[in-house]
Amino acid sequence: MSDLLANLGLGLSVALSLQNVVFCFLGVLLGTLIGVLPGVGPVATIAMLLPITATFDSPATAMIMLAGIYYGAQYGGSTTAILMNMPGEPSSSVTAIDGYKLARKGRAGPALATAAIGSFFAGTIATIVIAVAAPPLARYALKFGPPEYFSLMVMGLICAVALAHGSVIKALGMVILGLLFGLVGADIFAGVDRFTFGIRELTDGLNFAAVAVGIFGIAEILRNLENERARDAMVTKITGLMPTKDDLKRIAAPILRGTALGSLLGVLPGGGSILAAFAAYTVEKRVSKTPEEFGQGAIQGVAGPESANNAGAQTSFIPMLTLGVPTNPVLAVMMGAMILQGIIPGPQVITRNADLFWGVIASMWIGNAMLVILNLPLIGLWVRLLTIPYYVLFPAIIAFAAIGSYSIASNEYDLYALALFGGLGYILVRLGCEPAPFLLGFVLGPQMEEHLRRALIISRGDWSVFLTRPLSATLLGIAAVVLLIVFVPQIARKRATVFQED
Amino acid sequence: MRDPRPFLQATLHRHDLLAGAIFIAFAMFFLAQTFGIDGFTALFREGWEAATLDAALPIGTARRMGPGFFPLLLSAILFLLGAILFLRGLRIAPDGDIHPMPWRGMLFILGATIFFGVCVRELGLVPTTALSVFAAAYASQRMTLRLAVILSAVLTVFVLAVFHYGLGMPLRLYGPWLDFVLGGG
Amino acid sequence: MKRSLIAAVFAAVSLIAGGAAAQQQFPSRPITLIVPFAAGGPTDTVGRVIAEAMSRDLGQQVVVENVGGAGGTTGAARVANAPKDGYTILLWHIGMATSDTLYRRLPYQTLNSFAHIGLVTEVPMTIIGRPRLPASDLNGLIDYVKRNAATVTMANAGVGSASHLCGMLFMSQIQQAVTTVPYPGTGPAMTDILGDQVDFMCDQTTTTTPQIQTGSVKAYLVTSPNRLEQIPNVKTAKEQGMNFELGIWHGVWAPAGTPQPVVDRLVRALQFALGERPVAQRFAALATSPSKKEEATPAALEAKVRSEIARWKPLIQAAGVYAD
Repeated sequence: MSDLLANLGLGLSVALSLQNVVFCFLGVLLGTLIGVLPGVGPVATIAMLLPITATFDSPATAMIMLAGIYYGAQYGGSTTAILMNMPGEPSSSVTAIDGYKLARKGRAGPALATAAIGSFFAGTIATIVIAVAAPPLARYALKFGPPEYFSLMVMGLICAVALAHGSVIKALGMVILGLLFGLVGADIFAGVDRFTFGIRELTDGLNFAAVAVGIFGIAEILRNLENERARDAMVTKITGLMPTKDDLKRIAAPILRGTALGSLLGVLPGGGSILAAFAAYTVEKRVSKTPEEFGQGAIQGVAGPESANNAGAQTSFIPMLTLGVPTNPVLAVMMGAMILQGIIPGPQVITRNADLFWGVIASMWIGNAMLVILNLPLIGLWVRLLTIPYYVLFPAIIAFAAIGSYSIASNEYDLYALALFGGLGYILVRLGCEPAPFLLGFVLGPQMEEHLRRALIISRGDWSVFLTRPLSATLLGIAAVVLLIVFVPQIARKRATVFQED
Repeated sequence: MRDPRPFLQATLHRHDLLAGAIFIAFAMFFLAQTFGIDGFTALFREGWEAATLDAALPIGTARRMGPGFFPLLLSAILFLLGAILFLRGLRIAPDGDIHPMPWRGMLFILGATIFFGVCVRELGLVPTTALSVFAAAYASQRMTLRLAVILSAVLTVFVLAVFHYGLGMPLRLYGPWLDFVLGGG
Repeated sequence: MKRSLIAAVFAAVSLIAGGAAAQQQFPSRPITLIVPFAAGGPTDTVGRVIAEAMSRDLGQQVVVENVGGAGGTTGAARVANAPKDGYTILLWHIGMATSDTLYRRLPYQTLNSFAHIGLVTEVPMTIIGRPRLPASDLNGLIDYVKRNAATVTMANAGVGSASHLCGMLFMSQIQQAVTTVPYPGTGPAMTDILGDQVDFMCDQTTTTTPQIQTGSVKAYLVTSPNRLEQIPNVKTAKEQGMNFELGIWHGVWAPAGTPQPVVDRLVRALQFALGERPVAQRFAALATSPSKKEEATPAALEAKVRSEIARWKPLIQAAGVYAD
């Protein structure tokens, strides 16, 4: 315990030096701005800033700033998800579901404030979790082999089905469709291109940002243009910028549950924090006494996933800092930054570069505090954005979406994807198929296949490996229970209607 | 209860029917890509075993899955889900919304996006952004020429400031198609 | 009226933009260094170290872009088809030579589609095992592999990767086929080694050194002629009675047809980078060293590619392993 206090003290002394505070602020500010622009992601930004941070004399400063960009962007991504139905990060696509509905009802302020409060709380707890339990959590992450990851993803996808408020069959169909589109590109096992029509630009697969902005954002613009003369697309009156007492009472428990889920799942490499956001939403919808409010603007549907996503973003640093393995592309690029600073990422960092390790961890808490201070006053400004007439706003959204998508890889096929998934998304949404399950399927598709194939290579074609390994079996068990919970009321309802019609 | 509307209209307003058809269409699309012509020929002439070997994306076995295994599995499930939806949609009960299709919005917005993709490298960032915004703006029936021009100018300047000067995006402002106008380069 | 309004807008916008089309000296804008593997892997590490140093000489950022897929050939094809202006260059390794045989349909010609810039470094490899693998030295490992041939698994980063080549050489040396488990990079593969999910792997010292130093994995062999000072306890192949030497050499290429002055400028920048003390320090920390100045030349790199194609062709053909 005294060790812990000494370590945190060391971390705070590093993180609170004037230089580090300034760069932490610059990082979170830049991250927020980048997150708000649709289509521009933290990977590209961090990669662009690497050469600049390499000239910093202190590795801790470089890492603190880059980390700030990372969680700042997570934060900014939720802002556009709430205001414009444009998730900038996979995990904020869950926030968009109820956050955007709240904005349409004139309650963008409370939604944004909830995201800010939830993220700050989750960030604080996750910082403590990293400080107290980084090594044991990293060991727990290593228990996950290919079968466990496959089962975890099955569970995540079932959660995505459960969060849909329409037909279960349609949600399942959207997940599968997302998985299929996720497979576009080169297959790592055989080096064969799949579904690319021989177009080399597609061998890296379809770009997440283009697909997400298309199927959420562009589709939403088209929906708003349906009946332009009959109704105004935007909100008429804005009711309050801050959450009410009742709101605060309703978001307290979801924030706690979201933080716990996010802290645990974030440690797992390959999309842990995305899964956490989806799982948190499902949990909230299930424990709520009024599940019918979800999808119509339930503030708990913002609080849970936002806390989960931010907690997950923090704890995803654990494997990188303790084992030297990155859990996502952003962290992989940050490992590059460490090397440029002359620090070899790996299990030795925690002892050999204790000031860096604890400094970065302490800075996360400071950075989260800055984000709240930065963003609460900005809420008024963001909300005023919504009073701009829609026919002025949407050309701007299109311009940013187009350039943002192009800026990721200078690939014009990302724009064709934007148009294709915009049109397809609009039609599917009108037919009662929701985009969030599609997006999770799209993100997990290639990973899920990889883990399945790997698991079966190792087990020599024996499918029972998914059930004989306890962790994997547990995860599949949870998935089965969730699926049952989802299907049973549907069947019951259908029987009720059938009897009524007779 | 009989649906009073004409058949075609009633069908279009049936979400399940159309959603089912779309799922089936995508399932067939991915299935066709997975099998390829050789795979289908083999399937009908020699049966399943041969098809898994001759498929455009070989299926393989559980122990050594080929690149076609997972897509085949997924397409099959999607086909099944689509079929259930389609059959459910055949019930007479109409469930529909009566919103018109935003054809104008689709044309201008999707068109502007594709235009951006086709032209950005050749025409350069500045003209492409200006023209795309100008076109996208006309997706709204309320757009006026004056407003479209203003929007186009303001957004182009903004984009330039943020992406070119701010983020240092490596992209030519005026592309090769304009070289003759700007006097070579 | 309409036309003049639009023309006025364009005029205003182009004023702000300034005379961007004017010809400037190379490099007048950031250069993209394509690394054909995922970020965080060993090749990426080497790429980022030299990109940073080259930036300082060129006065423009050298931005690393990771274009993974198909054992590196996707990224190489991107460079082969890029404009021949030196703004898109490639950092790749031994795979440039081996893919010439591994892939029967390459989207470019190995010797004709690229302008050679120079060699960067030659990284030794190590064979490492999961922490609980019951074998303590190389002969113990070979013995274990042969006794458990049906269940032993060997991780690699996909067909054509350094880890796959090393694995192939190892299997041919011990005359025993092993089930291979591909990953989309050595980072994820390392995770499964650390977690006892796969048995062993052969990878470059750039990724294995920190894990070996802290004892997180078992180390069986280093493929360099002499022991490395960073991991002095790991024995060479010769010490353990085996002939197994292999280095993963890295080079930089531009698209064929790049103007000679641009190529010369890039060669100068590369030689500058390799002479920098910080680069040598970073490389040393990763258990490798920068190539000498006379190796960081187009001629040396071209000779290397030719000789390595000749060395690996029979090996790959004998193994009968193809990537497509």
